[in-house]
Amino acid sequence: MTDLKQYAELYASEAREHLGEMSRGLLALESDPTQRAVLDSVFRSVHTLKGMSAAMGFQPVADLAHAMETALDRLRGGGAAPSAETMDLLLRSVDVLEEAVEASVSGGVLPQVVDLVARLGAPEPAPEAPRPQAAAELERAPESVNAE
Amino acid sequence: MIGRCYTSTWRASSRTSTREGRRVTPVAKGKRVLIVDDAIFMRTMIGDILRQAGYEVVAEASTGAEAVQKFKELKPDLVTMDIVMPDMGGIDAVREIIKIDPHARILMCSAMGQQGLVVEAIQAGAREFVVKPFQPSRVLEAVQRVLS
Repeated sequence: MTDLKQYAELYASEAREHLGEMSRGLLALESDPTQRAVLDSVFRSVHTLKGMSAAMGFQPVADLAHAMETALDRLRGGGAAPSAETMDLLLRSVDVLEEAVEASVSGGVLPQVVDLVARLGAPEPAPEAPRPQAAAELERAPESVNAE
Repeated sequence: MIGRCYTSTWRASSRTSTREGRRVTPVAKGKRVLIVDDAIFMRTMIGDILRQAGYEVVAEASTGAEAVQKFKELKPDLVTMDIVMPDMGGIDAVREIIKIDPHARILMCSAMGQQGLVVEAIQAGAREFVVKPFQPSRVLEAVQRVLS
């Protein structure tokens, strides 16, 4: 079996570069969501980190990166600007990715990624889509109303 | 996670008994390889697997455009090609390399979830593919099939 420890330092150094690219790119997209080249660049960084992490056996990092990649690919294919919620989710994911990378390299406690992976997998809500009647009625039901 | 290797040109007789890249395989002798991946980490890992098996890594490239340039200069026996890269992706690089040499031997190195792109790469002229994370024996088996 190949000793993966010999690659840990190289992995960490390159992973940090990609995490920096992701943060800078997402912040740039937040101020101007039309920058397609920036979106592509963030996608590539996430994709590269996914492959590197899988190669190191750092599965939580690879899983979260895979979910981010899927969400970013949806944005690339959709053409619509990402919602504020999606941007928050992506930025939060980068923070958790960073924690997961550092914990994986140092053998520390890994952050939970399951919830983020699930939220990233949910489709971007269509702002103009009519709300289903049943859902609207459920929200009006007494048990779903927050008592104040 | 164990990397999987798929092939459209599988031949059982080309299987190798090499394990984890520690043994020099007869087919490796004198074979010159160009490694293409945007991650230094991945290039290092693939390079180590190939060198340990006796292949000569003649160059590395981090973009598709650089790969095409180095292929022209060096005419390697084998190219390992990443798919998602800046400045010309792996599929376009395959097309360009096949224009230069229709008999070029190219092994695609893809991440999970890129089946569609892999099919496109094979249609463009790549011979085989391996999926990250790499298991050295799987990489070497695929390399041998591409070269045989």
